[in-house]
Amino acid sequence: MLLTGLWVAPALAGLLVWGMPSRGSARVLALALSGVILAYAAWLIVPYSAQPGILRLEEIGTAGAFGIRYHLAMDGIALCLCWLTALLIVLSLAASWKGDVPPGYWAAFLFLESALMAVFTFRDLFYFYIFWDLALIPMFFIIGLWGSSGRRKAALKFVLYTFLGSLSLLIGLLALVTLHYRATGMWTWDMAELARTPVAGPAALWIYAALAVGFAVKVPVFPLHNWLPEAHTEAPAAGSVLLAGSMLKMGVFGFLRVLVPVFPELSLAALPVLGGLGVVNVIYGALCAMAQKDFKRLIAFTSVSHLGFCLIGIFSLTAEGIAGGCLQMINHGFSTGGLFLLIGMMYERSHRRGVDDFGGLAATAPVLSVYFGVILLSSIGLPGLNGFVGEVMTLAGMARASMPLAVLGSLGAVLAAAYGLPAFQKVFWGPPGPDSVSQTIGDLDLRERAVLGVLVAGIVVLGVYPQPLLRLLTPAVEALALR
Amino acid sequence: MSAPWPIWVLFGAPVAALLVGYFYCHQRCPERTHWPILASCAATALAALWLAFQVYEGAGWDFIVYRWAAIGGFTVDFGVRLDGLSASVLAMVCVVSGLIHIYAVGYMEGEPGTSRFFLYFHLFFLSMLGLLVSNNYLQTYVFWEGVGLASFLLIGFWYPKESARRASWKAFLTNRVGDIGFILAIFLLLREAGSVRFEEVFARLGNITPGMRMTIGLLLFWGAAAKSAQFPLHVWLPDAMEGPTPVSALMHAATMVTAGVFLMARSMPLLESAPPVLAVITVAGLITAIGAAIVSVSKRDLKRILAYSTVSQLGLMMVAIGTGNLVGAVFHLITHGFFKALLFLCAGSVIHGLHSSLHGAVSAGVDDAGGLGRDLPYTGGAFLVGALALSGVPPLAGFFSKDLILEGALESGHGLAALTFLIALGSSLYIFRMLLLTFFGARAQQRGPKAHAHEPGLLMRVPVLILAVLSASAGVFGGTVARMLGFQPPHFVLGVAVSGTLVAAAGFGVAYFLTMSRPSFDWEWRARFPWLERWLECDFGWQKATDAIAGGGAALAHFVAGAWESRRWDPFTESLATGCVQLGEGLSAVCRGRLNEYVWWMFVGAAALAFTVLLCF
Repeated sequence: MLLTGLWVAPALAGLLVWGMPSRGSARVLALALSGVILAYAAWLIVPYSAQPGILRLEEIGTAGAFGIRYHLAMDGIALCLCWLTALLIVLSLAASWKGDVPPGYWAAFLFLESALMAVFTFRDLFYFYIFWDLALIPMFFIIGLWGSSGRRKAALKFVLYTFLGSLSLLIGLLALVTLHYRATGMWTWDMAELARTPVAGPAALWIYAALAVGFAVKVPVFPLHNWLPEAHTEAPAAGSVLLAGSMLKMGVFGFLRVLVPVFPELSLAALPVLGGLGVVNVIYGALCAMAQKDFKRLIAFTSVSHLGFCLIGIFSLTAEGIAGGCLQMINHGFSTGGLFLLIGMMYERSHRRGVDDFGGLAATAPVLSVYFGVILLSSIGLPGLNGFVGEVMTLAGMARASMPLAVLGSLGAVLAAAYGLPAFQKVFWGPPGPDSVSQTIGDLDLRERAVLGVLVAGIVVLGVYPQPLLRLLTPAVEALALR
Repeated sequence: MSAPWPIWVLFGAPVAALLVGYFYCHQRCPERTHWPILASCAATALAALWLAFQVYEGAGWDFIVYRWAAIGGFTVDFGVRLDGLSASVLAMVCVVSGLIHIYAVGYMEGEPGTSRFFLYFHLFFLSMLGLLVSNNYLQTYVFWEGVGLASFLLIGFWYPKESARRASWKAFLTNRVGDIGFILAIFLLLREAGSVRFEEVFARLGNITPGMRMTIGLLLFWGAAAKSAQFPLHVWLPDAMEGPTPVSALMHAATMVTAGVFLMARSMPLLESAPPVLAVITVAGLITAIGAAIVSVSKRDLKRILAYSTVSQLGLMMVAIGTGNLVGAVFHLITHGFFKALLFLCAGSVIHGLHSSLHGAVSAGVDDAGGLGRDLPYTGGAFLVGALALSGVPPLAGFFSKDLILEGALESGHGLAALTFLIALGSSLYIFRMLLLTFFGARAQQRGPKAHAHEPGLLMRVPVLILAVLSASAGVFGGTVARMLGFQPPHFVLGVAVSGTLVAAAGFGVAYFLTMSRPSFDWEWRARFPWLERWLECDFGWQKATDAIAGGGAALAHFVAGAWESRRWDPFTESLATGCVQLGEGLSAVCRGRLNEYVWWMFVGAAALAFTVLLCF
């Protein structure tokens, strides 16, 4: 029941909030309930670590038609991602506090949370796929109804593009399950069962490719990335936070949870392709970010770059690489989530988000600039802050698998300085923009400081002392490592 | 051996000072932010001196503080290592930092943002301490980038200036280029030695192939070259002079830029096991030292003369590393820290004194000066001490350390020794040229100060005095440093000492001839050979080349983001969607609601079906 609660509670909370009579009460209730869910997710560490040796929570039902079975399990990776999602939901709801939006807005986030929790905990691929697609729906409305001027097109592009990816995933899953049935005479959608009887032959390669495409669209992996910049840019700030902070992780999680355990041999062989695409992501995303004038779009492209490190780590298939990839997912949620929140706060005040629209904010909004500085430094991988940990571990893992790819991947550090710092200098140090926006912009209020303060605290703690989180991840990661 | 509590002072005091400074002083009383910070400087200086004394007496610590991250083949424990190398450099860094912090209180008085300045400045100090006492490569890297961040923030301290913003970005970016080498070396060490901890790495050197040792050594040197401004990565340091003078003195002369030399000294067992790397370091050091000395002679801006002098001296330390002369490199690092800080602070006093005639510029050139010795006798005297120390005149500090390096070079070969003497000649030439142009004469081309320049207040004079005393006397610590590093006290070769002194005298003679006997020489050659000045201005063209590389990167980014991503690839994917819509529209033309057409289609369809069935059976 513990794990069922994790995905049912947000859905019920969403329904409750949706039914609220007024905008004000919906807002209060949504924030309160999301806080309760966060507390619940955090508390799960207690029963999780109460079973020494097993180190995971599990709920298994009986198999029904076609072997579909209600099966939930929680390991370190899933636990971290659930924490991240629950935290980001609370923070993004708190950050949208001033927006005059109907109850549906608040409910959409809670529905999204429910779908994400389900994706991270279901071990049955049938349910996994259902919630994988359900997660699209709330995000479609968040972008399409409450986004900025180009929201309709962005929402449509987002749904069509990622749905095509899901289609590829569905075909791959159906083929996988059918092949398994032919080989063993038993229907099952269970990840562990499927991993136990590996599929071989040319069909395996096609299934692998279909699944990889499905996950790659979500990550997104070059060249299937171009739904992302528009969706991130047009979504409301809170939507961008969830999109980047949690939804992209579904793709990486898919690689980890399905592709690597079910096809270990193919995953080892896929190093030049998928590891190589990770490197392309790192460099391509950074180069695109360097040339952006819209700050939100710039950060969207840095996501492409950062998630490239996740891919590098995972397909190194070393323990440190995979652990680094997981940490990178968490860290990216903190840093990119924080940056989207900050851009949102600046947009709320000025209705602008171009890099050249601002200037000299260090003098007019000093607190904002300190938060921005710390979070940006985390994003460009400054040691001592969390972003560095993931990057260094993924690359160290890759150095054991393929040195050339590690060398190319580490170019990302130079490019990060090249995209991050000039934009920071322009906005906070540079001459003011064409109008008086920068002079009149107000500094952060207490609510905003609290929201960002949580992120900054996480950024510092995870950067200075990542070992506790790493220890949480270790059993699950070591089970996946093949090199 | 358990850790003595003063080690914790090294971290605790700066962290506490930064927290109090930011969360209390910076918010409530920004004019007093430097109070906790100065207290922390005093505490750390005492702790560092005490620790250095303990190490001199034979103590030494290397212990793990906590496990940073460990999984698979990646095990990194953060810890502290205090041995002769770190303790001796630490003592110099703490003393010089304390003095420059005090100087900065006077220098930055009345500047907007002084509170921010001290926070950044102390952040640098904290990172530098962490770097020095680290017991493994990864922790060194963490603080290595930390000092880089502080450098970025402080070079860009006067951020409304475009040039300051550009210089700070250039510094960070160039250092990141070097950091790639450092981090790749760390990955290789983790892979090959399974550890990044110094003592474990050095104990396992035998398990690493010679080729791999060479690769790791070269990668480490690439990182050190960026931080210590060695060719080809030295380009950021001259521009770094955009920062306030105390920053230039502490970070970009005395301490931070020597981190690369420190890293090389730390890695000495590794480097010695890969002789080709030592050769590369020697050559790079020689190119850097000679090139920078030549450029320094041609510069007009006071701080830039000193900046190139720093580059040149760092090159000399690298030469010492390359010749395996650990004591020479470390001792010169320490004495250089004293006299270069002194020279920079004197330049700062000159700029401070000339403030009213500079029209808001943050630095002064030789055109603004001339004959300042009369107005600033105290600063001029201190500068003279620094210049004598730098040029290696006995019995000042630089004489002893440079002598050690010359001796080491002589042991490695006569050609190398000749080139090293050339560096010594160059350093004597540029520093006396600067001295004579600034404090003597007043030439026709020099505007000089409008009003009388004034000596700075006590807060700035006392640190200068102490540094002058140290620059004059630090030579006596040669034996101390050698003993702390585990070597015999250096022996004294009379021939080298005499020739070194003669070279310094020759440099002085040339400088005197070119600035006093022919007072307008400096302006004449510029007028006659403008191409030569332009050529030297961009470091023999290298600055232009690096600008072109950076420009190429930006152009590539614009191509990828513009021509490819938003004009080719994105439209293509969208065209798939619009293509589907168009296809649907095209097909809908078939279904116009005309019954007779539908009947025909039905007929065609039935025929095709029948045909297929007939064909199959």
